Amino acid sequence: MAEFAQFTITDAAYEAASKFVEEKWFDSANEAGIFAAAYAIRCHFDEIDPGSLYYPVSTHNYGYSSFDPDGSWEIIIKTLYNTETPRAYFRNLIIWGLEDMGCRIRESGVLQITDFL
Amino acid sequence: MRFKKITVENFGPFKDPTSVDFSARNGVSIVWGRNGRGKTTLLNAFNFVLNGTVKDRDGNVDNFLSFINEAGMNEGKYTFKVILDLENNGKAYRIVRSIAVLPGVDKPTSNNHLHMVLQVNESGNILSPADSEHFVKRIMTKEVSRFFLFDGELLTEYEELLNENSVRGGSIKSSIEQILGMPILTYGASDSESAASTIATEARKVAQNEEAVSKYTQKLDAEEDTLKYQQQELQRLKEERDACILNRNKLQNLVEDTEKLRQFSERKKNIEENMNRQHQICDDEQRAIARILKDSWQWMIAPVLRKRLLDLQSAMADLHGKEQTSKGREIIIEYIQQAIKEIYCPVCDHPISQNEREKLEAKISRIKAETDGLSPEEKVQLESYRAQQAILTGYTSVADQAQEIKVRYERYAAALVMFTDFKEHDLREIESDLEALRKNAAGTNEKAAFEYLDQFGKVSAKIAEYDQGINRVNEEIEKTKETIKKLSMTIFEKSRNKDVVLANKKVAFAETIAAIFSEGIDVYRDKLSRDVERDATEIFMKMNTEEDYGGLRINENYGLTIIRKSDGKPVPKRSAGWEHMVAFALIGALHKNAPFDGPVIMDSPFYRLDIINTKSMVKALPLIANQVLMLPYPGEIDPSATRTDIGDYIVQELEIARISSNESTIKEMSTNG
Repeated sequence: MAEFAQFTITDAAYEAASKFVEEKWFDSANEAGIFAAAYAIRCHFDEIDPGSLYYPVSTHNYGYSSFDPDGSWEIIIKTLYNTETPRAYFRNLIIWGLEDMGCRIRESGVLQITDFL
Repeated sequence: MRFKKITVENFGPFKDPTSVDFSARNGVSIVWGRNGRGKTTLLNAFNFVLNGTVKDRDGNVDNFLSFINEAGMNEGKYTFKVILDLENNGKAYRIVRSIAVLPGVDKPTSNNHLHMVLQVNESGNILSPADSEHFVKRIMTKEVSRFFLFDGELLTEYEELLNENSVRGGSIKSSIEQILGMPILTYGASDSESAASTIATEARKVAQNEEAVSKYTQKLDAEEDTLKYQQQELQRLKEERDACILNRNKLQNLVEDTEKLRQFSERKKNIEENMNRQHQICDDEQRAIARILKDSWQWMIAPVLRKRLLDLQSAMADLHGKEQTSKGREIIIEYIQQAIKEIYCPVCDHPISQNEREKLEAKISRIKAETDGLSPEEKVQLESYRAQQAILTGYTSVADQAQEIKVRYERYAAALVMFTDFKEHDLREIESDLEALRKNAAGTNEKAAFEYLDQFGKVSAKIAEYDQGINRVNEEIEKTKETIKKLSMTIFEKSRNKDVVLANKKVAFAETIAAIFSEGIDVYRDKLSRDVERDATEIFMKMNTEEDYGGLRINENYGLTIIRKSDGKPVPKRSAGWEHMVAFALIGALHKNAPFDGPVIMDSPFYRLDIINTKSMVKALPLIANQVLMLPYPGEIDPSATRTDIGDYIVQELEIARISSNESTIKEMSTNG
């Protein structure tokens, strides 16, 4: 079954992505989102199961291909998580990563990019 | 000359006739007075009676109306009077100078409604108005009076003497030479030159009718016209240069006043440049980090993928091992089965017995029971693992760039801290300092401060150009004068007229006299300089409290520089207090070297000095003149210390006491004062 071509991210995730763009670490929310998914895998792979996460639909809508233009993520996630719904996993990783980074930025009061490597 | 008594009436705060009697004894008279009581008015009274001039608090000159006592004016008394009794060359004099209302004016509302009256009484005889004028000018000219009657502010003018190009310094130098008697020589020189010139002109008029010399007289006339033009040019250049010097002096004050503004402005510029540098580092590093971050996901997930790959490879190795063991055992079974079938063992190389056959068949059963090979599911799994390995391998070879980001981020963060520090502290502080300076400088901003400096540089360059021009014109004038001299000699040599011959002798005589005077000026000026330097040094050293200060050195303007004992070099930047003491030493030296003496009146002379230097200067007071009248305000000097230090020289202590807000009087100092 073909997965979705559009998806939304939560307000909190959008807010965190905007913060990264505002502070000039990324040119767009998409770039921040990709970074967030990578952060979630790199730093929290064993802690989170993207398949068990649920995030409601919001107004911040994006085309899937704007995050994964060549489909690499889809293949990797399918392989990594042995899932048939890699796009949903990817969305959850993006949102989880953005929300977690946003939370840490709020707690420390400063966006320190090296905290997420 | 000695002052005996000064009386003021309806003058300033002194409504009723008020006098200061000077004791017959030499020494220091002290008249104490709080600010606004009338100390400066007393100094003005001396200036008025001697020179007919007054200067009010705002610096306005000769605003006589403002000097009429307010209470007296309210009573309809619109005149004032100052009487000075003095003794000069054994004769008693009384100078009475007053301001009166012009006939027909009921109540004066401007200075045009007033006129000045001077009367001098010489040993009981009233001198004519012309003689009276002549007398006051003779005893103390305005230029000379500045060395007798002065206030603390006037002392600061003497700093100008150190500036060789200063117009004001030049004017003070001229006054100094007046007090030292130089005019006798300078007038002698110029009068002799003038006489020679007049005689030569007259003689030429006589000679020009002679045919033998007429062509020379024509040339001479032309040269004289040239000389006149050159002298006019010289005058013009000097006037324009002097105007520039005045302008430069004004600019110099502005430049000095705005020095801090420029310094702070430069500091602000440096801070801003540092801020920009740090900002640039932030920008560069952030841009570099952002570039790395763009594709960072690949190397960020690589460690997890590598770990996953290792797990896959381990699982694949297990399955693969199982597959290989199973294959090996199948070969062994096949081999045994072949031996059973052929009833011959190729290993032992002998036929197989029935007993051995049974053992081999049991072994086949045993091997089969121990080996079960890969299940179909396991085979699918292995294939799946192989496919996953192929995919993941492609994403695990990307180099990790986290360390580079961390290094760059450290540089970025350090620059950001410095930038913020500059912005929040250094810049804020300097901006606040600048704001305070702008307020103090009455609205002058940094732009104006730099413009003053720029204009100062331009005006200084222009002055240098004028100086060059003046030197060139002077050289031309000398050449023209030489030509005139030669032509005049030719005329005198060729003329047969006996009047011309006689005139020639007179000219030669007058020129010789002029040359003698000129030489005398140089010799006398040199002697005066040395004498003034010596006496000023003597006075200065009596006041001096700085061990390394060894004396004073004079320049051509009579400006004095303090010389250090340690290296014999001038002290480069002197404080206002030291300038003050040097000026005081100069005045003392001028009094010692002047061909006449007189009393010194000083108003608030210590305001720029600290306690120690004030004490030193007070001690030196008796050195500068026989009669000293000092007008200090309470606190300017310590009364008891002064009495201890120069008690023998204090001839009287008076105080200016308040009667009302617009009226004061002078009385003996109360004993507890």
